[in-house]
Amino acid sequence: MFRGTLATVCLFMMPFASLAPNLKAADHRDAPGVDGAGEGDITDVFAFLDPAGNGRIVLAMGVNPFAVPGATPSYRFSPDYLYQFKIDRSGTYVEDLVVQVRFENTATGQQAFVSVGKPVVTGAVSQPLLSPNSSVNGAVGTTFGNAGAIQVFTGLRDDPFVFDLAQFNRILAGTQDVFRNIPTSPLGPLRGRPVRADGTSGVDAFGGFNASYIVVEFPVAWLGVSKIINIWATVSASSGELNGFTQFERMGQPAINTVFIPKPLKDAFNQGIPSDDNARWSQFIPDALTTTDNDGTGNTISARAGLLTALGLGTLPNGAPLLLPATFANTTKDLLRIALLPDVLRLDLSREPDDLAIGAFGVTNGRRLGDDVIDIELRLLRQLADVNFPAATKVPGSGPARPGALTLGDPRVTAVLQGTDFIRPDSTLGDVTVSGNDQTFLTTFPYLAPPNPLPGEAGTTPFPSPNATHPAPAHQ
Amino acid sequence: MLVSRRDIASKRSRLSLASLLILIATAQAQPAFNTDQQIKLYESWVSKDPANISSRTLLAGAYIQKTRETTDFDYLNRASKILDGVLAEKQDYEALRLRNIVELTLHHFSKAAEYARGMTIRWPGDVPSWGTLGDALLEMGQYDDARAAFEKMLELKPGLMSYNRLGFYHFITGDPERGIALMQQAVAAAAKYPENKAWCLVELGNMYFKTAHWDEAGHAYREALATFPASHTAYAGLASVKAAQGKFEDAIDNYKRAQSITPMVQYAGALHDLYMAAGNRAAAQQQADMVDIVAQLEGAANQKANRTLALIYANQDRNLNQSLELAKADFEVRQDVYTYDVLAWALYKNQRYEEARKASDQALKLNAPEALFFYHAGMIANSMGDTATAAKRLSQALDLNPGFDIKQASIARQTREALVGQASPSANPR
Repeated sequence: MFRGTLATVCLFMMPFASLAPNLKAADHRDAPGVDGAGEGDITDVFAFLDPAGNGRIVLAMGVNPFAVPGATPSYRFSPDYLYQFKIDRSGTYVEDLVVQVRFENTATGQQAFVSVGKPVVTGAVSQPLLSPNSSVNGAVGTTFGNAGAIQVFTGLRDDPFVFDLAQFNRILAGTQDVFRNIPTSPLGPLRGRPVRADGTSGVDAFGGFNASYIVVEFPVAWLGVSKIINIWATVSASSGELNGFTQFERMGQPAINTVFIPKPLKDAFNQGIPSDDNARWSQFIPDALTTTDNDGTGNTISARAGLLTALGLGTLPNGAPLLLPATFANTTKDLLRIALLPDVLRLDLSREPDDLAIGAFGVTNGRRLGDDVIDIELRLLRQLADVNFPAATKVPGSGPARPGALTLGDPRVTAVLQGTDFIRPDSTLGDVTVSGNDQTFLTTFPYLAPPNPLPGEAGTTPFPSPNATHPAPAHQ
Repeated sequence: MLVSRRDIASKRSRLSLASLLILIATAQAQPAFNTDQQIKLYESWVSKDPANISSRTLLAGAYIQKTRETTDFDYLNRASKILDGVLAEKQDYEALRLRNIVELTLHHFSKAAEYARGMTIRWPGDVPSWGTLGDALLEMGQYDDARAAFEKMLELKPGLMSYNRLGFYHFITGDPERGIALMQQAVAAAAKYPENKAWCLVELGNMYFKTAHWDEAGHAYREALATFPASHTAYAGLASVKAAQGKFEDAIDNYKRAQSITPMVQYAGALHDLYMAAGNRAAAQQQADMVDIVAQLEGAANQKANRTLALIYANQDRNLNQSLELAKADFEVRQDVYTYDVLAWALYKNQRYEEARKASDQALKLNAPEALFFYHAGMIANSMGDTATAAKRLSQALDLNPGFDIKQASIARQTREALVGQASPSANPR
């Protein structure tokens, strides 16, 4: 049966639809549109209160993932993009305050222009602020502005993200099972990295790399509220319309797009807005276990804790300590969806700067540079995500497939089993406020560690010392 | 029922744990979210929020991809309707870009080129629009400009879409080695959809087949099927290899598989020739009838341009006036070497040899490694008494790919034998 008269049309050059627009993408090269240009590829977003307690809020976003120190001069921000922090102060997940950052090339480098104010329009299309509350500008690679008002840094810094991405990818590919090798376990041998002499086994895939950062700090009082605010970062490209910029990249919490959104939809996720997230993406977040049995197999938070303990995964050296007590109270299967969506960082301005508040109103209270977000998420997921085990195992959650649950065949399940990627020494794994970054964070603005040195500069090995007569090139 | 830790421990058994281990060991990445699933998802978004332009353009894009995968133009119509609606409200960038793809797919080449050029002026960094522009220019026979567009595309973003296009360009402009190398890069590049990778594999297979590397071609087609099992073009490619190897039953089987997925008229044409070669005249007639039904449907829909149908009729020595009309009409919308070649063949079959030779010369101008072009040129030269050119062109065709067509290659061989007075070697691949 012919499907239509056009069935004879020759498709020999039917173009690839390229459903991804002219995109870059998200979270350290995690989406299809990322290849080509990193200037619009957000690596991480941070939002926290000035740790010195000076009543200032700090926002940071990175782009240019895996920036190699040896190629330092090549990393720039794009003059064609509009970089924004978007802030929702009313709980609608629609921005009512934005920080806009644009760049211009100069004879000697780049100049950054930063404005704060109420957005002209909201959503995935943006326009430059017409009457910003505050504007500053300064050279990329420097700190500029006013320490009492808005202060800005733009330029390369050490990438603060810590994760054994290589081992995670091996687990997803099925060539390894877990992060750390478990020679014998009730599950049999599980393939993972061996333990080193110093008690660690993970490898920080981001160690030694830089990223281009925009760090903005201003008084909390400018926000006009003292409650929970929602924050996310976006990058937009000119839409061709007068002063119009169309969003192609966004990020709030770490790893949402990376872990939960199917590959063909990652670009659509990046084009989206938080207020649409619940309706669009909830189906991709697994059900949460509750205090009561939700499937008749004893499948509760308490039973999951028991299972992890029985398997030896709740204690070192084979697994991190449990993050939640077995008695953790939860009555809704939507707990993970509520915590993870919309994809924003939630920061309670009334809490202390160091109050992580895990699970209080999201995954964490904002995000500080040193938070071990990966361990926090791995541990929350292994204790809370509903998993459908095969019936033959007769463990809680076993039985026929049920919608909303992950399945054991999904490598994301085995990836979270140990609750850590073991980058830090085992003795420190109980503390999730320290990520084990390879560089030490600053205690003052811009807080991020300086960029990793160029090969041959002090701090790099095993390169010979540079010729003393040649000054080391300056970092951007 | 709450289960205590002791209960859990007591319920453990070597059998159940072993089954866990097997599952862990065989863990696979998340199943791909295929085009049908995407369509369903985006339809649900549009249903919930019909005014949302982002959701509508995503759905239109998924419909276009589905058209690629099925050749079911109902999906293209759906995409077109959505885009009309969006563009009536707003000159949305994504909608404009997808509209261009619809125009190109409908063979509105000059319009597609005009729109795409406008978009590249407006957004010089827009990679897909450079691709659409190059595609349209290629169809219109504007090869230098097409190459410039593809090279710009590659400069902006090396990847499957740019390697594929530039590879095809180099192949048809007489540099098959470079074409194959670029197509191999396209295959190795990240593909958003399995169908996209399979498409490149089929293109690679076609390049191998046309240069008589039949084993390599077969491997590429099989890999395409492993990547995207519904690739009718891969089945057709395999069929062409089998036919060249004289394995008619296998060739018929593969063409029938291709036809069962998407009833492209060229599959009916090929099956007709294969059934005739196999002595099954009744089955051959059925395929000829199928070709005629397509022609009638196209006529009823006022679709006058169809070089594929024109070629089939010319090959089957029937409806020759109609063949020429179809080729001429197609020539009105595109002037690439393939259309010149079909026009030349239709003119030849209508005994308009001088016009045929002029058109054939145009088809040959790029030195494309297309045995059919050389064969047609040889037959045209022979009809005009230019036996030296005829023998040369027929030899070029058979040297390039001795199995280029089950019926036409045989005619080429016989004609050359008559011309040079000696037996031609039988079909042998490289």
